[in-house]
Amino acid sequence: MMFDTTTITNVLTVMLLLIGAFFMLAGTIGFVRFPDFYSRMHATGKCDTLGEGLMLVALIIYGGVTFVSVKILFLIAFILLANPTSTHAIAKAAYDVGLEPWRKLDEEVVWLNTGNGDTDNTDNTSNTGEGRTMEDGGEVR
Amino acid sequence: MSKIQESVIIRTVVRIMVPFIELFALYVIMHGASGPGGGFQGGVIFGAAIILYAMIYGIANGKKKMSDSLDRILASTGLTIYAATGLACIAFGGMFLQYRAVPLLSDPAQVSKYLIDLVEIGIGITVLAVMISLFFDISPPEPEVEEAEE
Repeated sequence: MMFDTTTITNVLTVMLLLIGAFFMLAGTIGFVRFPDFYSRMHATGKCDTLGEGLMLVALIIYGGVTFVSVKILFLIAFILLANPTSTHAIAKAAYDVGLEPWRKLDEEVVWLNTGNGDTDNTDNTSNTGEGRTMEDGGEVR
Repeated sequence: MSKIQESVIIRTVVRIMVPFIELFALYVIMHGASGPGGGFQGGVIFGAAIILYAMIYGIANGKKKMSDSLDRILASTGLTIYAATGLACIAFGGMFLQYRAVPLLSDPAQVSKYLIDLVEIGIGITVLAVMISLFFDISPPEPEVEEAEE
């Protein structure tokens, strides 16, 4: 059975688009489902970068060597440069103001800053950066 | 100087990205006649590049790149280019911004093409200057940025 180049190109394009769409979907599900700020940044930052990159590579393969492909190549390079950096900037800003990462506790799961818990932890004024204490519902270090 | 501004990763990436953002802004301005884009969009992108630089490297360093007097000069220069192009059309007997009235080239379509580019450049210059001056106006005063780190 012979495959011509058009068939191979189409198969590669569809495969890369599907893989990229899968990563975008995974990142979005992670953004919706993950408990706190840091894990949501973790999900969207990486999955979106890879998903967009793979989908753009698929477009390059489908379009062939044209001027538009060169533009898309630059697009991929700048997405790879800017997306992790912006994720780093946002996460670092949150860390600098003292937002605590979520930890799986022994008995209960404490949801921080998602607006659906009763922990009343919407501000970080009492946060010393030392981790949660007993009265915050955390464990004693 | 906040902790974000001390991050080596962000500083390095901003230093790499700013020239490319400015180049893309020029591309958007000049490509506005034949594709998506135009003077306003390109000016906003160019202003955003300078604003990004000023956010990371400090307002004082940003004002070294784009001082208030340069802002004023650029804003009025762009408006002058726009108005002069339009008034030149009136002077040659057309209406305001009726490009084909200007007898620069034999082909009126060519005249329109170049004059539209000129108008877009004027809009871009004004928009970038106004964007940057708005950012500097609403940014909080910060203490003197100490030089010579790393």
